[in-house]
Amino acid sequence: MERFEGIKHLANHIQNELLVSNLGPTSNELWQTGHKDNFFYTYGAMGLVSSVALGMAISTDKKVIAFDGDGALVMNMGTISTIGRHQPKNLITIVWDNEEWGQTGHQPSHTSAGTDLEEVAKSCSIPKTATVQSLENLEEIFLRALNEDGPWFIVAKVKEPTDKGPYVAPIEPEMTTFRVRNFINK
Amino acid sequence: MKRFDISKIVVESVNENIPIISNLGPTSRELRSIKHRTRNLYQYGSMGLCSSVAFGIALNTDTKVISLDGDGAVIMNMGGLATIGRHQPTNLIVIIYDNEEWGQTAHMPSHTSAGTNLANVSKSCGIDKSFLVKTIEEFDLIFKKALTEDGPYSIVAKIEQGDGPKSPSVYEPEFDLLSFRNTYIQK
Repeated sequence: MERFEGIKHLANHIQNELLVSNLGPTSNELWQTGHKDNFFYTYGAMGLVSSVALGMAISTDKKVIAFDGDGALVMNMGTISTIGRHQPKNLITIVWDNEEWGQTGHQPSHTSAGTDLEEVAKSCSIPKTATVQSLENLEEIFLRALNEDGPWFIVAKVKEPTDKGPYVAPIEPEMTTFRVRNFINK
Repeated sequence: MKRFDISKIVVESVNENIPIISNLGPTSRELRSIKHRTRNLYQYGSMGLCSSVAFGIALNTDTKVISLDGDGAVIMNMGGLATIGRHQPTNLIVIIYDNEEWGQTAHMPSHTSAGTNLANVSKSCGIDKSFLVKTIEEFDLIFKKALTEDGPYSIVAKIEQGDGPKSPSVYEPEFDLLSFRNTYIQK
């Protein structure tokens, strides 16, 4: 499965939830699938997607979804431990795991060499975890996560696209913050 | 069991040329009061980086390298475990003192008091020889094994809160680093 397809499939189901996406291609691809005001694209804050989502989750009743990446998460693995500690029922973390740092020259990441992020999440007492390889399984588990208490931690194994990804989305960080805040306060 | 007693076992079980890298604060101060060796490298301020520094040294030496880390520090830089799991330095022994709190900063309970099991995290990062020990006897057994067998090892030692006898904390990082480095320079 490619990340872009996965993002398209999941974004269809997101209506009233909040979605926080990892910097780079994940945010670009999310933008291309059709912008919504409840999408919070992060910039530069590599590794902090799930932490931002955790902060949102403990301050709202809405479901909050994080689109994280393996390379980013390995930079800030302690956040998994923080999620496990606080047990936010409304948080769903999706890790797009392509086993590499795709943006910076396709260096293989730690998940290609021994680290199993789902096992790490289990070790940090996150109760609902899964690793999925196919679109069908991803969609199925995501729909379950939307309706069942979490925290959820879902590793989606993706392959890096061979062609160049979509163009860089024209997203302004200040506008993103403004839109998402308005969406929450509506 | 107490951190001081385990550090004592560590110091007494290894010969003079094995580097021991110790976490900042009481871990370093206790180690120094047990025995100051030129191959002790006390960390200052670099919280979370003790095992990363030890890992770097392990890649550049053939002897065993021992890291005396702490739970609060490891959680600050958990990715360090993933890097160790990836590179599999056979000569690295990471000992994580787990008192389930940030003792130095007013005893705030740490994540290991609330769900996180660092031995399992180590295992999930590909460090197959990961253990959680609760008694001195258990520690002694696994540590002696770790000294003779290939690692990397991650040994999480559940310890009591509180400190043992400590040396004063006023010593000079630059000087310690210099004397540590000098032991590696052939004269």
